[in-house]
Amino acid sequence: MKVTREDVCNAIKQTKIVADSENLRDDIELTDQGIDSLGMFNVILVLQEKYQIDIPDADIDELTTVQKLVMYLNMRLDQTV
Amino acid sequence: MIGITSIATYIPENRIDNSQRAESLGSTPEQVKDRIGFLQLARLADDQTTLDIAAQAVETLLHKNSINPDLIDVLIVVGQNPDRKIPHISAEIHGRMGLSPSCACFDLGLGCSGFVYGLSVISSFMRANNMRHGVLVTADPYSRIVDPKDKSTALIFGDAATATLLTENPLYELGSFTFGTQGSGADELSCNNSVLFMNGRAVFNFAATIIPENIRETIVKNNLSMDMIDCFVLHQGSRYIVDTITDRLPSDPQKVPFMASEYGNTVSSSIPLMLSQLMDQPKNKHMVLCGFGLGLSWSTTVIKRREKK
Repeated sequence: MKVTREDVCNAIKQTKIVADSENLRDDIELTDQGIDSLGMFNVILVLQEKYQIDIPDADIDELTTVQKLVMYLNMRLDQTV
Repeated sequence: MIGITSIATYIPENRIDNSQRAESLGSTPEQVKDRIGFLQLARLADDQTTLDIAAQAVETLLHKNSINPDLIDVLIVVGQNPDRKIPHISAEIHGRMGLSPSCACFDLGLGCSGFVYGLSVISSFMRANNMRHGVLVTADPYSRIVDPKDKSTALIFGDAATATLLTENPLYELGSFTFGTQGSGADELSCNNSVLFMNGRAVFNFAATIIPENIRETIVKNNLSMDMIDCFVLHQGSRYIVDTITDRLPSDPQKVPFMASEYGNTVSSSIPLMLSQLMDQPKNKHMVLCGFGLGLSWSTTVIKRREKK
């Protein structure tokens, strides 16, 4: 099963960081859409728990948009199959 | 039944305005208000020592409760930033306050979990040695070890001290405790070459995953249910950590106060600073006290207000 943008947006919704997570733009930096570094810690934690993977600190700097998160999660989940 | 009778606090008058310096530390005034939560940080005056603020809290406690210093059987200090490594600061407070020669004094080297650990240690020590009056002091000025240019820590820590009186005729009884340590994460919040280091993500993950589960477990251990808790008194790590734990418990946010916006994260003093106000509200019959941080460690209990007879 592939991770979709809806999955990532639902994770962001769960953290209650932004009021309107459905309308997040896929290709715009999340920091420019109201999600600061503390919020990103929470988003990453929710995704780690949901997909039962560990996302190392070294990877986080690159995970700046919904699109990049979707691609990254699919790559990681493909590796675990 | 030994428990908490009274709490006195001392917060230095000096303040640092976090909103003004947010941008120079890679933050914004909005983030300071809504996420970090500390608009101001309390700071020791240049000529103030750890001993000064700790002794001030003890003096206020004795005066407030009209207790003769001779009556204190044990004094324990929680903290890791004394003025000197040797002797133990509890002995220095003993000397300054003129406590009795038969008063036991020792220090506990713990951080943000220290007050709750300390409650268990002092009440057990009093019971074991048939003591009637104990004082638990918290005094840990992190301004001594925070690099003012460090984006991870410079907007967080404030200085304060508290003193808690424990007697056999308390206002709040102590319940069962739970404790824990995740030593594999000890380096994530540590002092190296006299400078504090914090891996914010590691500390956030620890607090968000371990603490809600530990609180639920402690409530069950005390034969209570979540809806019987009137107030969750959580260590004030940051507003966002408190909000996240609230979400993950889950609990009504009204029951999980954030009260440190005017003075900052005061480490082991954060819970007694809140309690000193929350104890005055009779509606708070059962309160969860939960300290977590350095270690990484945690300690939780439930305190119960005694009915007046």
